[in-house]
Amino acid sequence: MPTSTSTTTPTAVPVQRPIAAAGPIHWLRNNLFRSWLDTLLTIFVGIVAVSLISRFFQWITSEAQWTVITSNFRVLMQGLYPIDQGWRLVVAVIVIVALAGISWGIWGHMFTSTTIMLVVGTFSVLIVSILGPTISDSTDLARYFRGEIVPLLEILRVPILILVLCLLLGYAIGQIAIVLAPHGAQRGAIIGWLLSIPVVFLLVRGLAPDTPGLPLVPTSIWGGLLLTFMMAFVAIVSCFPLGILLALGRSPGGTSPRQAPLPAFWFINFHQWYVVGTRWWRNLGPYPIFKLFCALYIEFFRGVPLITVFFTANLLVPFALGSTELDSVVRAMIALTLFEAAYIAEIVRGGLQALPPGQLEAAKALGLSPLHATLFITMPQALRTVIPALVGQFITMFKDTSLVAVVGLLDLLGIAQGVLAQQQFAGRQREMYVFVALVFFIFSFGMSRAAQQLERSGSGRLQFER
Amino acid sequence: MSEQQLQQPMIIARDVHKWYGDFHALRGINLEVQAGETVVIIGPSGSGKSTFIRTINRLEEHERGEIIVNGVTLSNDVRNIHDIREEIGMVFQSFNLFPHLTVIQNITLAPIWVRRWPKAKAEKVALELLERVRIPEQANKYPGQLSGGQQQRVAIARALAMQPKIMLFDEPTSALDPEMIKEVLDVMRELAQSGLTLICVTHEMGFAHEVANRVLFFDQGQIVEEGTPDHFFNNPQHERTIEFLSQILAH
Amino acid sequence: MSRQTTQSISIPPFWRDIRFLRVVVQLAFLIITIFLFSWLFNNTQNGLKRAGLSLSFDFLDQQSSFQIDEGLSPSPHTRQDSFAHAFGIGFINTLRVIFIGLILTTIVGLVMGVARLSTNWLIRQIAAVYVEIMQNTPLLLQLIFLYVGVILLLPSVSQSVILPGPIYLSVRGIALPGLWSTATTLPWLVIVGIGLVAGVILWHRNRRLQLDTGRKTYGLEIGSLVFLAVALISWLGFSVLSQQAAPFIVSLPEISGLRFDDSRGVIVSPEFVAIVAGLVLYTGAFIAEIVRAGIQSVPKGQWEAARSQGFSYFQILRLIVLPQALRVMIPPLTNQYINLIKNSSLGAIVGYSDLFGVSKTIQLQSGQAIQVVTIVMISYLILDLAAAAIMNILNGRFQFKTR
Repeated sequence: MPTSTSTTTPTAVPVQRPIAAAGPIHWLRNNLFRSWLDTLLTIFVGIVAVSLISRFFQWITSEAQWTVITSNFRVLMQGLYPIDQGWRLVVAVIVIVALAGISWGIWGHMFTSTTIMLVVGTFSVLIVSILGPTISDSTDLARYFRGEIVPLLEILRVPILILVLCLLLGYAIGQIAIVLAPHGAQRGAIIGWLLSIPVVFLLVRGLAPDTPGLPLVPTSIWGGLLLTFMMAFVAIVSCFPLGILLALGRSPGGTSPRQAPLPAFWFINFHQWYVVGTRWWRNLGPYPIFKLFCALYIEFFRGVPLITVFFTANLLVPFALGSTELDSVVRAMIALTLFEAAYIAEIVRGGLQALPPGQLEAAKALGLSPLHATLFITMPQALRTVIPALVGQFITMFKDTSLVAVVGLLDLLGIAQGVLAQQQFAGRQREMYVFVALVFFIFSFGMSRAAQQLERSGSGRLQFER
Repeated sequence: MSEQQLQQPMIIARDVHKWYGDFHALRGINLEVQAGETVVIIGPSGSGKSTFIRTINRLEEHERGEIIVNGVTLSNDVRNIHDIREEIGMVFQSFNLFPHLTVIQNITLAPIWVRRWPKAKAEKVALELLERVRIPEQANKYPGQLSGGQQQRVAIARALAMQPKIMLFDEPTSALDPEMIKEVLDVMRELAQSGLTLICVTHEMGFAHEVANRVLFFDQGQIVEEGTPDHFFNNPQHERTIEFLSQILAH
Repeated sequence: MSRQTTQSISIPPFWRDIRFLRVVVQLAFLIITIFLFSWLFNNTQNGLKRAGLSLSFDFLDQQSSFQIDEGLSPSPHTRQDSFAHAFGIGFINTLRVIFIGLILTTIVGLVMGVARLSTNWLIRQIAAVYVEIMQNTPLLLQLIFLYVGVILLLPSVSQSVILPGPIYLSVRGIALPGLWSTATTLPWLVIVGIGLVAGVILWHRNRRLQLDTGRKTYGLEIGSLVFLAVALISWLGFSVLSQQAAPFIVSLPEISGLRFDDSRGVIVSPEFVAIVAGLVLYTGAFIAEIVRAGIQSVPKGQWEAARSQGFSYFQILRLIVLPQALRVMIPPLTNQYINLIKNSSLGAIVGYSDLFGVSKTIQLQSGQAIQVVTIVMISYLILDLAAAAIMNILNGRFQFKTR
């Protein structure tokens, strides 16, 4: 070691890090009490938050009366769907949840904490609902607990158990499959999802009024969470291809990068109008009519509120088709599909525009036809980059289904309001709406977390260059 | 038949013009390229050299004049619009590999869907080509996992997989690090010797000198000068050529 | 060698020319579309005719026979007014919601977005919970909950919850202190306007001076001082010296009997509160995420580069980070503003008489489905396009100039 450069020798005793730099006190100071302003804010917000939370807990533990949920559980879940056909819904739910679990196992990663939370949550629901009735009515709290909370858990325990079991089992299967046959597993899951669409639809709707085992259940009597799900399901499945077509129609642009700037006050000269007009038309690309049609469609549906579309569909579709054969559920499904397709189209178009132009050029140079180039090169890449945005839109779509209440359909929220209108459940709004909100929250939160994982895992991102 | 094809020029361009908006990008290009010939195009940026080779496989449409490739006139005829591209391979400056497909999928895609080869045959050919560009071990990787030089060699293999009669190179080494340029040029040199018709836009003067049968100098949308490499580099006639060469060789 | 023959100049027959085929395909599509639409339109017309309805807009002049209580004045629309008048009132009510909603939602979004990046753990967590709850439940549910589960459970007017201000919260709405104009309002505003112009001119002049000479000229300080002085002196002049009423008087709300006194303060209906609060809370969550993403999108290197040049924290924020963050934020922000405009139509569900709510009533009263639907949709399209156009102009100012 050259001694000329170093004048101090390293100290033998390791320098102690100041104690305050680590540990809980340090954390508190850094995260809650950085400055006097911060401290003030923490204390003020803390007091408000604690009082709100304790108020909510007080409500949960002594005031809320959950009989409004327990005695209407079935109608909230499936509307007027025949009770003896309920098994079909159960099978459909199992199919979808298991598929979701398998996909999770293949493309995502379940954090240990999530698993533990799911398992512990399920077990506590099970244990409480089983042991709950044996608690003695010694105190007010215990009496309230037995009377209000245990019945709710009793009714929820089987659905929760089924959901969690299917999810975890699916996850395990997915994890094993991805190890055994990575490509096969992914392809299998995609095929499974595609197959599940007709399967679930046929299972829930049935074939004909007299089909043995699967009698027809007309859409007009679907209701509750079932209707919410089926609306979202049908809309997601059918708006997707429509949206892709619209995006493709609107995508190709003209090629005229360099143009002489217009003279000032060009609009006084009629000839300049002609110049501007032809320039605009040229810029529309090789298929101006398709492009204009798609642009008009997209901008129209993105410019009007969804409830006006539901309203219009409900009012005019019977007239427009010259009959009233379409029941209002199907009308709402059509309206939702047409509406959401415009949003999907804009998302997909964004993905297409984000592609380097060289991709399409390379495909063309290889002699691929426009159809093959779209199918194999541009569309797969565009869709991958917009997966997070697409899932976000699907969540919106799921939440948007609640607007069918405007045209008098009884989705989960509609049924909830119907129940509340009954004399015996008057004043139970909070319980009901908290329950409905929780149901919506669980599903959209789950979807958004899935989207985040997809985004982070990088399957949505592509490397164009190293 | 083969004799006839030898006599007939592989590429004929007559008075080719092209505009971008109001910008006149190609101003009357006349050129004949014989089968098996290697032509190198050089010129300053914006001189229309890339635009011209892109009109040959119709990535850009010429607006006046005539281009005949392998006996087929480029036109808006739906019958031969894709035929031409099957006969012409193209290699881009930015590789343009398909990032969502593996190397072998990149190479076999067009043979399977355009040439309608069975998959096994396409894969066999693809592996042979990877051998030829000296990266057989990368077949199952994704383009993002390869170096620039390897990517460009995959791109060459992809173009060759269609068994084209003509190969177009659009500045294939401009986006590469110096140490990777050589590996790509080696592959191109070998191609030139194998009898393919090559048109190459490049700034690699050494390569042009060694491999080209003919060198064209483009400036402002026109061919200003053409000749054999010896003639072109040692005894240039036109003052723009002299100026350009002195700038390039000064480095 | 069949190809040998095509060597001569060959123009393909027109039915093989791709340009011709493109035109044919598109024309066919256009004709089919027009045919389809005219068929649907015909059907609708026939159906309406059978139902005894017409397609004319004449009904707009007829008496509406219903009244609207919601509006800028206590009884904006009576049974004798026309349908057209009712549309107008609905449109104004929609504008009120949009105007207040856009302002409040921007504030809420900004605050919550910054809170999500706060160094304070508690604030961060609360902002996160707020955003997740709002984003993952339907707006309709939130609105109904807010209206039925919160506002309608408020006490009656005489037992209002009184917040400092005084602000009265009751089941009949919220009463706030209001600023009322007087006879001297207009002249005072004119003088203040002149003061403002003078202040801005001073500010700009001094700033130019500072840029030219490098000397600190306190342009902003002097300018605002001039403006404030003009405003204050003229206020005092009007209210004290000329013995007239002050330009504005504060009107405090009061309870008279079972209702709020209509002639005092500002009274907003519970429906208005529900729709505005619902929209603001919901859209605010989305804007918070946009703000957060916007600030996070500015690379760390920008902060470091600016700090290495000696800028202060707020200079960095104002000159370097915010302009870049805004560039990322404006397009999604535009979407959220447009969403708010469209979602304002949900006011009808909590009984607010906005454009959509009024239209539903008009449709029931007159039976004129197509006309009503057309008017409603065009109105919302105009509102959205206007918002998009304004945001587009803003967007153009913040984009990078690239080659």
